Amino acid sequence: MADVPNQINNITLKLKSKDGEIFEVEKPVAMQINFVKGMLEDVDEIDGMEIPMGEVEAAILAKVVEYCKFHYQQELNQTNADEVDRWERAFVQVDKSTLFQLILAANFLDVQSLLDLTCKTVADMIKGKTPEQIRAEFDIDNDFTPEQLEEVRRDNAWCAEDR
Amino acid sequence: MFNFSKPSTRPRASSDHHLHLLSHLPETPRSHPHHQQQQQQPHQHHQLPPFRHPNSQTHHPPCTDVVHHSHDLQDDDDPVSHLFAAAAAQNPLPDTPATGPKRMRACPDHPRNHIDHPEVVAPDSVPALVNDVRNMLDYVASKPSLQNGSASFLRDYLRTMLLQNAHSATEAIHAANKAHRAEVMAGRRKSREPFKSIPDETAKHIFSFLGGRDLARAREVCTRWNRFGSEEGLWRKLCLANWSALESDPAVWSLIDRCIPLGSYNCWRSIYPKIENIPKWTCRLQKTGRFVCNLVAHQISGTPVGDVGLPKVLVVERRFNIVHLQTFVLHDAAVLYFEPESEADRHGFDEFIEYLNKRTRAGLALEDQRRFIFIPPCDYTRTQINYHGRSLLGVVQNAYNPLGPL
Repeated sequence: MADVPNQINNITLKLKSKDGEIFEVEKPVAMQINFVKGMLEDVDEIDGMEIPMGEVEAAILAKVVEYCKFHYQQELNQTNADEVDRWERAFVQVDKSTLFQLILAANFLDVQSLLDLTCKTVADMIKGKTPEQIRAEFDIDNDFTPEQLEEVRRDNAWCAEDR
Repeated sequence: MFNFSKPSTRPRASSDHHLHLLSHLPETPRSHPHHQQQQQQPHQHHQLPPFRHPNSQTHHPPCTDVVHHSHDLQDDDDPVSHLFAAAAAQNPLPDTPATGPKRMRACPDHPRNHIDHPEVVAPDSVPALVNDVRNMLDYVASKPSLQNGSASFLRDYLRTMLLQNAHSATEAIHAANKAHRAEVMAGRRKSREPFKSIPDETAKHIFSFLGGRDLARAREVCTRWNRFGSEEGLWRKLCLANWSALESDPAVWSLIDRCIPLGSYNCWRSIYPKIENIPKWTCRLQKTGRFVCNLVAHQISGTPVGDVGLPKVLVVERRFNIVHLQTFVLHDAAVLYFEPESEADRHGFDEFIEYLNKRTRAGLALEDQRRFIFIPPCDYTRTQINYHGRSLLGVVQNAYNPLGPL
């Protein structure tokens, strides 16, 4: 970041994670986070300002920051769709706990494209699986009474042959 | 977060030199790889080993720097790092540094030689990748002749390095997931249920990326998912993606299922299975020489049009009075419901209906032996097809001789 040619981009914001880690981010990168954008609307002097990022911890904020950096670069350089797709698929190659924390962070920080990406990733993990396989995948307990489950199964008679 | 602190025993391509250059992230090695230096960590009592070139093969007493860093970089609760730390206390660093891949093996006369893991750093850990980066820097530093040329080879190096690192990390994640699942199945561990932390609104967003069958099946997972999967909003979206006139033209519903009118309880979820497999095609509608609009055609009854589908372009070449429909349309003809493909097509579509209506005509398009008839809303559609809406219907049938009263 030492020699950014564009003077305008030299304004950096300090994003502070819940556990106190500070991430220095160029302003246009940080502005993709609506939470940050909204916060800056009421402030005149932003250079060097420290912005607390709520409950988001450093490990997750680090990912969010990289996501925003990539998207800023990608828009600037008109990266082709395949390349973006590949980058995003690698981005969500994380363990489930991280993935769900990313969803919560994207939701809280209001980064719609990140929320879509992470939610779609979870949806892809659901697709094509039987209810039993889904429970195993996400560690979910079956809390239906036999009668309730029977009722849902009746509704689903039309797609029962998929099982 | 998964706990990767347990040492993996999986053999791995470049694992040999993954550990011997570890230190803290900011301390990028600036010295020449072969230059030896000693550094003091403020919070540690041991001296850090000097950076070494990954390819140097000097054999030496093992594991010393692993001792430091495993202590440094792993969970405090990790029994292995405690063991290593204890071992380190008993075995202060030698003056000369250890080098080479062999250092990773426990030395036979070493007190902790019962830990004979080829690899201590988890593949999906910062130290593992930092170490890869260090090796790269060492590699570059050791090739002065490359300093003034293109960095293309470095980008290659980075790409390969990342692929390899990502591969091992992904494998580690899968293995950890699998192990966890086995533990839960065996009842040795409580399930984590990551979904519990997700607020309802966000969970619904996740479900909005599912198709109808996956959404239906998701309802059988648990009561909470049943609630999400029963959301009419999600089913409405799925239906409209398939057939947008379902909202703009309530009369379509009775063509599909007379028992499910628009607005009834769970109507979208109930109608979805009925429309899911209704065949549909898009085509371009033209009057002789003039573009009218793009159409979507849904078959609602009659002999299946089948895989041949509709032609890409339908040209309305002739018109005939709608009073002849009774005699002209065959009883087993395929009946179609037309809607404009997008909002941009709506105007041309409406104009075409009005054009036929004013002249009380049906339109006719031909393709080899097939006849395509466009029928505006009229007595025929109301009494014969039982459609009471304002949209365009059509039939597809094979030509017969004589062609009929044209």
